[in-house]
Amino acid sequence: MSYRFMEDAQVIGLFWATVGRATDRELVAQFQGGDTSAYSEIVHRYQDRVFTLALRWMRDQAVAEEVAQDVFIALFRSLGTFRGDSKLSTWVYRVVVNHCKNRIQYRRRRHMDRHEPLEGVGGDGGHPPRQLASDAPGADASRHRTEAEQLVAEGLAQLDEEQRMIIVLRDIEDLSYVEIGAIMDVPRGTVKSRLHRARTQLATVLSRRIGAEDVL
Amino acid sequence: MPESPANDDLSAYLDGELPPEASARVQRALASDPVLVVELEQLRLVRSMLSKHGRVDAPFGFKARVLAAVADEPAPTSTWKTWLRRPFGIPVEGFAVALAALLVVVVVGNREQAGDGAPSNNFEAPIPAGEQVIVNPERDAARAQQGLSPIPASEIAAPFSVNEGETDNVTSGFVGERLEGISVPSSGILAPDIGRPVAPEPTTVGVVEPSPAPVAKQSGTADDDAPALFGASYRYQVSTSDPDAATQLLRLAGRYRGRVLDSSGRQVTATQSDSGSYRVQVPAEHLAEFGSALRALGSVVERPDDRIFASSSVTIQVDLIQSGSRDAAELE
Repeated sequence: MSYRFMEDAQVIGLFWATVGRATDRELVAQFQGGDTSAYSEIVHRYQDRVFTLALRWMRDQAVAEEVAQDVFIALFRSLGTFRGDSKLSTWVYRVVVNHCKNRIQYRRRRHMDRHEPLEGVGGDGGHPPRQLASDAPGADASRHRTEAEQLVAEGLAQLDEEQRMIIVLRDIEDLSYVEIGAIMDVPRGTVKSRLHRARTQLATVLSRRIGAEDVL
Repeated sequence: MPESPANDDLSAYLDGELPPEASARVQRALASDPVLVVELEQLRLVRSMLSKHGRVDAPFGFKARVLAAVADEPAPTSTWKTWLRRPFGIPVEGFAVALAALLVVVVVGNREQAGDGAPSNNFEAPIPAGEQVIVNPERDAARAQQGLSPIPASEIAAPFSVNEGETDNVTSGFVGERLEGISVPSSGILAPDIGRPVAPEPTTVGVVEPSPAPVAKQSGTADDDAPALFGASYRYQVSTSDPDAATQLLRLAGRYRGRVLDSSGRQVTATQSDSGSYRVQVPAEHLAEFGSALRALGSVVERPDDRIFASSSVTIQVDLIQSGSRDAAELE
């Protein structure tokens, strides 16, 4: 009888395996129905995106991890009320942006934001480039960054927060201008102009850092 | 001479975000202005560089920490607003699930009765929703003859401890395979957990027997004060030239209050062979540190898994592969 019981369980398992790759909408529905494994899948799908966004904004690995974790906890608490009017990804990004903004304000009030520009304000002032906070001692030493990744991080650090967020959402997360506008709560035209400024500035910074012939 | 496009039109053109007439205007300008072409190319390369090198992986063990952090949160429920959004307030999904569950109950029940004629009494004493049970054909058959249900995982997992020299009574498979347990949804139907297998070798549901006399938790064991985790298990492939890699693994596990089990599920307490597969159980709270420290052994390939289970410790499979071996070449 037990063998038959196992056989039945395997049949049901096959059924679940076929629906394992659920859409975001289906995962939310499963979660709202009390299936916590759906939440695990959501975390799995979004952890890199959320962490990337948080790290690019906060520029500190430890703080970014805290923010990213807070984001997922907030999602856990509020996914039950998610109505599905927008895409889950848009909603998640919006939560990240709000958390980052709040954390920045909090840190500024507490004078905890001790980051400085990676290069001198004047750019070519002969200051040696500084390291990102995420590369400071105590950070995950196992994370090997290629030179290009390092350059990207340094270049992004030269942008202001809004520009940085917009260019990350567009060029890394591949969102449309409308989606970015919805996430950042700015008009589409603002996204367009800020994105262009961000890219132009980044091109200048990267050209200056490594020479146009190498990368650009 | 064509009309110059607005500066930010160039980026929008690159992204395909311009309306047709504006896009045509940019194309005309590009055809006659080589400087504009260079500028467009620079923007394109910046975009390409960000796209290729901008993404950052979440830190090791991040997902497990998130899941541990929400483990004590109340279960999610739909709000009244969610119910109101349904047509005429009818919970269509609920009816569908209930109907499907009913069908499965009928089918399973019929098959049980048609198969051996014995009454199906597995569900007479319902196991709480979400509880894991471990399938052991012989044990379950014996229990079924007595009219008993399969043993919930919580009753089986308890005997695990990290007391030196203690040996779990493992009848087959890895200890980690207890994660292959079958969960019981609220319908009372037994359904396997969703998730990829930790290792390719297990082909059946793991069987782990409880110790005859459960050992009470003692101070200093792996389960002490560890946060409850429904989360993840991990697999690493470590390519190493260290002939004492297995010994190093033992030391590492000990440092993080874990223990090492061999492929037959026995606790490893002495120097073993230089390569092979080991299961390491570490408290969830030390998962990240252990993962980082593991990199001291050699080149590590991390393979996180999505398994869902309830435990305060995390089981990790570590495949030690000697550098230069055929396995190492495949790993490369």
